[in-house]
Formats: sequence, C-alpha cells, structure tokens
Amino acid sequence: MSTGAAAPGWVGRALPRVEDPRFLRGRATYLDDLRVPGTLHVALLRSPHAHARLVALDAREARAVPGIAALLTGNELAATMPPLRPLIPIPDPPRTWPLAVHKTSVITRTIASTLSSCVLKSTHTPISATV
Amino acid sequence: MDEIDGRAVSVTVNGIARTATVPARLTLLDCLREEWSLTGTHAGCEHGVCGACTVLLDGEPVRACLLLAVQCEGASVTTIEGLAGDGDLHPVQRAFQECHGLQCGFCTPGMVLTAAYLLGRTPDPGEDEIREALAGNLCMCTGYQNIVRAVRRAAEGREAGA
Repeated sequence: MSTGAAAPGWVGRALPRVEDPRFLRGRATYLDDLRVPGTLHVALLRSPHAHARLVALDAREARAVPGIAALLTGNELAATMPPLRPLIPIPDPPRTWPLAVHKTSVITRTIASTLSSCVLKSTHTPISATV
Repeated sequence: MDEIDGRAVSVTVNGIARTATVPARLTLLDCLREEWSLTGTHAGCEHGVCGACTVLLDGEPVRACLLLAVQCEGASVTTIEGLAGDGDLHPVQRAFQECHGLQCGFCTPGMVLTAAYLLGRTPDPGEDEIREALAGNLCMCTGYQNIVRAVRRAAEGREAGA
C-alpha cells in the first residue's frame, strides 16, 4: 500500500477509493437499507445442537399469527422435492434437505422458515421445537 | 394502544432531539434504522457478537441490537452519521480511508465509533490495546491488519503517504 514513492507510474500505486467516504459516513446503501413495498422477510429457526434428533416441531401457533405469508417445515419441504444430490457421487448418499427433517447434522442446520410481511412479527413467531 | 405496543421515547441522536412511539420490545438498532431512517448503523448478528451496530450512548460504545429503544429515554446517542456530520471526515474516518481499513464497509461504522472512543480515552494506544479494543467488532472481509494500521495512523495524526 505504500509503494507510491518508489513507483512513479500507476502500477502498484495505492489510490484512495472514491466510494470510501459514503461507507465511512454511514451513507452507503445496503440491501437491508432498501424499502421495497410488498417485501416479505424470512426468519429461520436454527438448531441449538450440532447433532440431534428432531423430536417435535409445533408451528400451529405461528401459522395463526397475522401477517405470516408462509411457514415451511422440513417435512413439508421434503414432501415437495427429492433429497439434495451430493456434490460428488458417493455410494449410499445421506438423504438431506435444505431444512432439517428427522435430525440436525450441523450446528447451523435450519429447522423451519417463515415468510412474513413484517420482520418484527417473523422474529417473534412462536415455534416450539424439541431437539 | 397500550404501554407494551406503543411507548413514547425521546432520544437525542447526533445532537437532534428525536421522538417515536414504539413497541417496548423494539431495539435501539431497529428504532434508529426504521423510525429515524439512520441506516448507517448496521444489523449484523443481532445478538451482540459482531459489533456492526455499535453506537455511542452518552459517549460509551454499546450494542444497539442489545438495547431497547425505551431504555435510551433521555440519553444522547452518536451514530456513524453524527461522528463528522456534513463536515470533513473525522480523523479516524480519514485514517481508515488512507490505510484501506475497509472493503465492503459493513463493519466500518462500528469499527470507526469503537476506535474513536478508544482514542478519546487512550490517545496513544499500542497495537495490543487497539486489537483488544476492537475485539468485539468483527470484519468478514478480514481487513484487520489495515484496520489496526488505521487506528495507529489516527493516533499519530499522520498525513497520507507519510
């Protein structure tokens, strides 16, 4: 970054970025800063355990919350699509879906997702999961 | 509207008196962004880990995602928009630009405010002190080397290229 003195030309010379002031002043626009009418927000329920059986999932109360456009559990998703194909061909591949179905296999595995017209409602949606 | 769904809150933000009627559960972060359109404060992890939402509350750095707006009644908040206002960049902001202490800029508001607070208390911090002070601010672009350099440069008040 400090080769400017040694290199009289443009190659290797550090230049101040023109976009920096707006980032530094908090005036940049990120996706989350946009307000598009009709935008739905998604909330994901994640497993608190790295590797656990999904014992029970009760989303009945959440579905009844006003403003919830859709709520999808792993079982519901699995009924609509085949398991994900492994990246490399392996014999007897594990049957996994984007949402956890019977057990969670990594710590960030998502259990259920909701689509809501209001992000506050979706993040306070009552879903009870036992893992 | 009851006290839970709508409570009046008055906060001085960047020197300007702001009021809103907000749910008691609304975080200061969401209040700044949604009610007062100050989107320079960023929602990262939303559970107090990443530091992207750092603002100064009565001069002290806090996580705006862990505070409720109603807890800030009567307080004075400085966000990244208020650090330099419309004037020249704050010395910390200038040093970040000079040292390429930012890439995507998402963590930058929290980094800059935390660094400004550090330099206010410790005008000449060593590298270890800088790293300790910024330990609660995560950068996913992995720009920590240049961020530490930027804080050192701000401390030294050096000009670009020196």
